[in-house]
Amino acid sequence: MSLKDKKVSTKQTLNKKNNVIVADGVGSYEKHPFFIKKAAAAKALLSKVGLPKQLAKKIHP
Amino acid sequence: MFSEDKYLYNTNSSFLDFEFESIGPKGVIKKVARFSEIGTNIYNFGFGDLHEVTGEISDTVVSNNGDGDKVLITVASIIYDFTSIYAGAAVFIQGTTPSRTRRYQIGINKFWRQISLVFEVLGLKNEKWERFRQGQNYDAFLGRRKAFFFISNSF
Repeated sequence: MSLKDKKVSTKQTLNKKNNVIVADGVGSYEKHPFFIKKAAAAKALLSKVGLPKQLAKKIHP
Repeated sequence: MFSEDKYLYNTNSSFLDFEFESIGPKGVIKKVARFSEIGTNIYNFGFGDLHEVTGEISDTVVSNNGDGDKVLITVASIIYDFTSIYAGAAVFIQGTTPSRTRRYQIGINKFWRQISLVFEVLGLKNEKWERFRQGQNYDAFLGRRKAFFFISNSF
C-alpha cells in the first residue's frame, strides 16, 4: 500500500495533538506553481548529488 | 515535541498541506507549507507566505514580523506532525537562498537537543550527505524519524 492510499486517521491525531486542526478550509496546494517549482528544484538537486545509500533509487523520474 | 510558544496551524485530511498565521507588528501574514512527494517516501518541504488576494506564494519576502523563532518552532512542529502520520517519510529541506537555508540551520542548531532525540538529520555539504553536526554549514537537509532512519553508518 502506497502512502497515497494510506487512510489518515485525523480523529486519532487530533486526540493526541492540540496544535494542529484539520480544517475544511485548507485547500490542496499540490498544483500550486510555487510548490511544483520547489519540488522540481529539490528533485534536480537530489538527482545531481544523489541520496544516502538507503534511499537511493527512490527519486521519481 | 516542542513546548515552546508556537502558532496553532491547520491542515486538511491529506496532512500534506498546512496553514497558519504569523501575527506581529507587520500585521497578519498567512504562511503555507506543503510536503510534495518527490520520491518513494521522500518529500520536499515547501514553505512561504501566501498573498491571499493574488494567491501567490513567496519565500523570498522578509516578513520582519518579529516572530521568527515562533514561526520556526511552528514549522518544526508541522514537520513532527507530518512524520507522525507519514511514518518513515524522509523530509528534504532547502531554503530558497543560502541565507534562508542558514535560517533553517540556525533553527536545527538551536533546538538540536530536542530534534536529535526524535529525528536523524543529514546535511548536504560539498554535494555529499553526512550526519548533521552542529556548527557546520550545509546546503540542504534530509530528516526522518529515528526509528525509521538509516541504520548503518555507511555514509
